[in-house]
Amino acid sequence: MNDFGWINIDITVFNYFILAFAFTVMLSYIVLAIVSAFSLKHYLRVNRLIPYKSLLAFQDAPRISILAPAYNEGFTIRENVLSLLSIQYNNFDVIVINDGSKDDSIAILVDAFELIPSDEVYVASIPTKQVKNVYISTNPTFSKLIVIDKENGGKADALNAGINFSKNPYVVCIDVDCIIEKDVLLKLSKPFLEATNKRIIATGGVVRIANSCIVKSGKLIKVNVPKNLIARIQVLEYLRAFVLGRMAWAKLDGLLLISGAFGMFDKEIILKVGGYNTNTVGEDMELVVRMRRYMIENKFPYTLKFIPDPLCWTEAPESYEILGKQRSRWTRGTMETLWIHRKMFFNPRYKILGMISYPYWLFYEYLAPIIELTGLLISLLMVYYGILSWSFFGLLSLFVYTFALFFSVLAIFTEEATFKKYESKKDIFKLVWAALLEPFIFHPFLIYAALKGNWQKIKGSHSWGDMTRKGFEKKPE
Amino acid sequence: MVKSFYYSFLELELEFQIILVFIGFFGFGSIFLLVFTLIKRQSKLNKIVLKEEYTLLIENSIFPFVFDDDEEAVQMLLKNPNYKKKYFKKIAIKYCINLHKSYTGHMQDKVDEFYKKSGLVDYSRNKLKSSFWEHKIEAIRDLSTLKDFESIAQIEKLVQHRDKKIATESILALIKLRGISELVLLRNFKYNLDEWSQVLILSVIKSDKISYNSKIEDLKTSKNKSIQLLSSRIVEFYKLNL
Repeated sequence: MNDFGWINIDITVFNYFILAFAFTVMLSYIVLAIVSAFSLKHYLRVNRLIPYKSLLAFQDAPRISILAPAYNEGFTIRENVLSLLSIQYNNFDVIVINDGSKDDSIAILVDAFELIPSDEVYVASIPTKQVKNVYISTNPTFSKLIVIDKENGGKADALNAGINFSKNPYVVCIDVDCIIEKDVLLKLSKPFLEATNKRIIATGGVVRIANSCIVKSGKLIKVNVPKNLIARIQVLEYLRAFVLGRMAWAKLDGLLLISGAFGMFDKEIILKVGGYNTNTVGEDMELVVRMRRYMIENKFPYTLKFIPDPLCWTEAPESYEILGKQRSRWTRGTMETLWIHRKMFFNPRYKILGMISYPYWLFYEYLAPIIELTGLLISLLMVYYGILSWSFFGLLSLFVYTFALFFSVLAIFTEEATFKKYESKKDIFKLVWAALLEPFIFHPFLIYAALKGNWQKIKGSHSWGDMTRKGFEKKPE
Repeated sequence: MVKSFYYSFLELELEFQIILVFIGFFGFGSIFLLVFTLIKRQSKLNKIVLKEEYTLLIENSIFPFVFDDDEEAVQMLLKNPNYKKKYFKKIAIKYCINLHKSYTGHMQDKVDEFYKKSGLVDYSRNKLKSSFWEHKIEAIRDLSTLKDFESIAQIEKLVQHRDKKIATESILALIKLRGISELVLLRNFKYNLDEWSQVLILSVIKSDKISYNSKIEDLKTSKNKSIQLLSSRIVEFYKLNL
C-alpha cells in the first residue's frame, strides 16, 4: 500500500456508495414514472367521459371555502379575487386573508368590492395572530366574498384564520396570485362525493407554470412556454414532480405533500390536528403528514386523492436570487417536517408512509444535494491526489446527463400524450433545449440553494423570503 | 465502423461497458421519445385540420335537412367517401349532440331524425355491443341524448351490468328516454349509490326537464338508504321547481 493507500480505499468505498445512490435514485424515478403512466392512463380513460358540470345542478354539493392568504399583493389582488369569485360552483365562498400587508391591499379590496365590517364573531378555534376586522360586501354580486384583515403571522397563521372563520366542511387552500381553472372545484370535489368506505381527507392537484402565458380577466387564455430560461426549466421540473412523481405517490398511497399553492382538505380533520403549524416554513407538507398520522394513529380508514389535470397556474421565479430564496425555504421546510415526524422513519406502523415515503424524502429529496456535494468534493480530492480516472469520471457524468435528459423528455412526452397544453412544435423544441441546458445552468444552483437552506436552518432562520412577482401577460383588450 | 466500435467495446472493463450501455439506452431513448412526441403533435395537428374539413361536410348536409327538409343532403352525405371513416362518424355524432342541445322542439326532433336517417345511429348501436366500457358508455350517451327509442331494450339489459359506470349510465339513459318512472328499477338496488351517481341522476332530471311521476315516491320504501336519500332529493327538487 502506497502513501495514499488509505485514501484509495476510502475513496473506492465512497465511490461505490455514490454509484449505488445514483442508481437507486434513477431506478426510483423510473419506477415512479411507470406507476404514474398507468395511473394517468386510467385517470384519463375514466375522466374523459365525466360530465363535471352535472355537479352544478346539485344543491347538496360539498360546501367549500377557498382560503387565499395575501401579503403585499395590492398590485394584482383585485383581479385575483375577481378570478376566484368567477369559479363555477354552487356552494362556495372565498375567504381572502390579508396577513398584515404593508401595502394598500386592504384599501383596494374595500374599495373594489364595496366591503363593510361584518358583525360576525371570529372564534379562534386554532390560535392565530389578532384579527383586526372581518369584511363582507354590500354588493350582492360579491356575496361570496369574506375578507379577514389580521396582524402579520405568516402564511400558515393566515390559513388558520381562514379555517377558523370558514363555516364549510371543506377548505381549498391556494395562493391568491395563482390562476385557477374555472372548473377547479367541480374536479376537486368529485373524489369526496365518490368516497364510500374510506374518508377522503385531502385532494391535491397539479401546479403548472404560468410565466409568459396570456391571462385575461383572471382566466388563462393561452399557454406558452416561458421566454425566461429559468422559468422554462421549472416547467420541466414541475412536470416531472407532479405528473411523473406525485401521481405515482398518490397511486401508492404514499403522498406526503400537497402543494401549498393548491389543495382541498377536510376541515374537521384539520381542526382535529390543530391546523397549520406556524413554526415551520414547510407548513403544507407538515399538515399533510400530521393529518395522515392522525388518521393512522386513530385507526380511521382514510385516503388522499390526486388530480393530474392542470388546474392551477402559478408564476415561477425568473431570477436566481428569488429562486434561491424559494428553494432554500423548501429545504428548510422539508428538514423541519422530517424532524417533527422522525418517529415515522422506517416505522411499520405507518405502513408505506413510514417504510417508503419518509425514507425516500429523507434520502432522495433532503440528503441528495448533500451527497452530491460530497461526491463533488471527493472528485476534487481525487484530482488533487492525481488518482481520478478521467475516462471513468467522464463516462459517469455523461451517464447522469443522459439520464436527466431522458427523464425530462419523458416528462415532455407525457404532457403531450395527456393534456397537450403546449400547442406548437416550437414549444416542444424550446422545452427540449431547456432540458439540454438544465444540468449545467439550473441543477448546480439548486444544490447551492438546498445547501444554503441547511445552513440557514442551522443558523435558526425562519424567514420566508419575498417572492417578487412580475405579473402575468395580459391579453390586449 | 460499427464492427470496430463493437470490438473496442468488448475490450473495455465491465463497469465501463455497463455505463456505456446505459448511456446508449438513455441517449437513444431521449431521441426516440422526442421523435414520438413530435409524431403525436403532428397527428394532433392533422386531426384538427381533418375535423374542420369534416365539420364543413356535416354542416352542408345537416342544415339543409333540418331547415329545408332536404332528404337529398342526407343521401349526399352517405355517398361521401369520408362517411365510412370512424373519425368522421365520431365528429358527425358529436355535432348532432351539440345541435340537439342548442335546439328545442321541431328543430331538435329534426336533428334526432338526421342521426337516424344518416345511419349514424347504427354506428352507436354497434358501439353498444363493444367489449370496451368507454365505447359502451359513449354509445349509451349518444343513443339516449339523440332519442333512439329502439335501443331501449339493449340499454335496459345493461342496468345490471357488473361495471357500475355502465350500470349508472344506463339508468341515466332510461330516464332520458322513458322518464323518471325508470328509477323504480333502483328500488332493490343492492349497492350504495354514491353521491356522485346521485349528482348525475339529478343533473339529467334537471337538464332534460324530465317531468314528475308519483312513482318516484315508491323509492322511499326502499331498504337501501342511499336510494331513500335519492328519492328525497328528487322530491325536493320537484317541490322547488314545479
